[in-house]
Parts: sequence; C-alpha cells; structure tokens
Amino acid sequence: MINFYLTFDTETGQVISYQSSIETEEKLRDMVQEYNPTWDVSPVEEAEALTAYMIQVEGVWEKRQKTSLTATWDAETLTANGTAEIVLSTLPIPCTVHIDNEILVVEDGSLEFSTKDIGFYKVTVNEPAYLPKEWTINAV
Amino acid sequence: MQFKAKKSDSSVEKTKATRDKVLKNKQADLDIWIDTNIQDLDDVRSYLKRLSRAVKANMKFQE
Repeated sequence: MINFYLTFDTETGQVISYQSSIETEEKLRDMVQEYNPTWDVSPVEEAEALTAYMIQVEGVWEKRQKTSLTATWDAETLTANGTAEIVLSTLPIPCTVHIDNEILVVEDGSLEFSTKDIGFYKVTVNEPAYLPKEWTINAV
Repeated sequence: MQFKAKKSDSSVEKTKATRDKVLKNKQADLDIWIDTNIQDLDDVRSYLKRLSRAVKANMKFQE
C-alpha cells in the first residue's frame, strides 16, 4: 500500500517535502533521520499534503491545514516621495515579510511602507500556518 | 512597523527609462515632440540625458 508522508524539521516546524512511500512510517522515519537527525515524518492525506504544516502543541507534533492570509494593503501603488505610505495590515503576529531581498520581522501586525525609489517591489509572506501570498507594489 | 524601501541607483534609472512618457511614444509622435520641445541647448542637454538613461538601461558595459 502506498502512503503519503510529510517530512518536516523538528527544530523549525517547517515542512521540507512530502512523498509517497511503500515503507512503514517507522522505516521511513529511520531513513529520513539517518539523512538528517532533526527531521521527522508524519502521515498525510495526498490531497492535504501541499497545504499541511506542523506545529508543536504541548510537546506533541500536530498536523494542521494552512489557511488564507487575511492581510491586505490599503493600496498597491504609492508615490515615491519618501513620505507617502501604504499599509499592509492584519498580518499574523509576529510575521516575517520579504520585500525584494530584505527580510523584516513585523511584530505589531502592520507594515507601513514608503520609499523614495520608483519601481516594483515584490512583497511576500510565507508563514508556516498560512498559504503563501505575494503582492507587487508599484512606486511611481 | 515602518519600512522605507530602497532600490539601487541602476535599478531606479532603469525604471525611469522604461517609464519615460516621451520615449515610449511611437517614433512619429516622438519626432513631433522633438520638433516642438527642443528649442535651445538646455533642451538638448535634457534630452541627451533622457536618451543616455534609456541606452544605459539596455547595455552591459565591459571593462
């Protein structure tokens, strides 16, 4: 019988991959941990594998489904004058936001964005518990 | 959290070039614009800067 398994990192909770296997869970765990001792496996339904994430609750790893991020910008275009601001609000707390090549940890659920430099800015949020989200901000 | 985003100078100049409202016109319209707007040496300097920005945006210079 073929089963599906998530491989995840027990240090970060990050899902590394999912795969089908004819091996038992125990055998697959041994194989994965031989490759990396901090990794573990968890059985998963194939249809839920892509949107699953792992979280540790009271010392026990639980598998859950990612939900849509509700965060939104109040505008996706702004004037590049250094003072005009647009706001990305209702972010999870805390939340890691990638803006082009920069990584920000937003602690208060809200990101006020401004710039003096025209161009497109790629903003992404890829938190474990949420489906990945990407916006393109246009500074004009 | 407030964040002031930055781009490199070359990125900003490239974006300015690709968004140039005059240069993006059709050549016939651009010819008319030049005839109408280039009157003196300052206009020529300004237009040359505009042109060189567009050229540099599409060039990879070698040492």
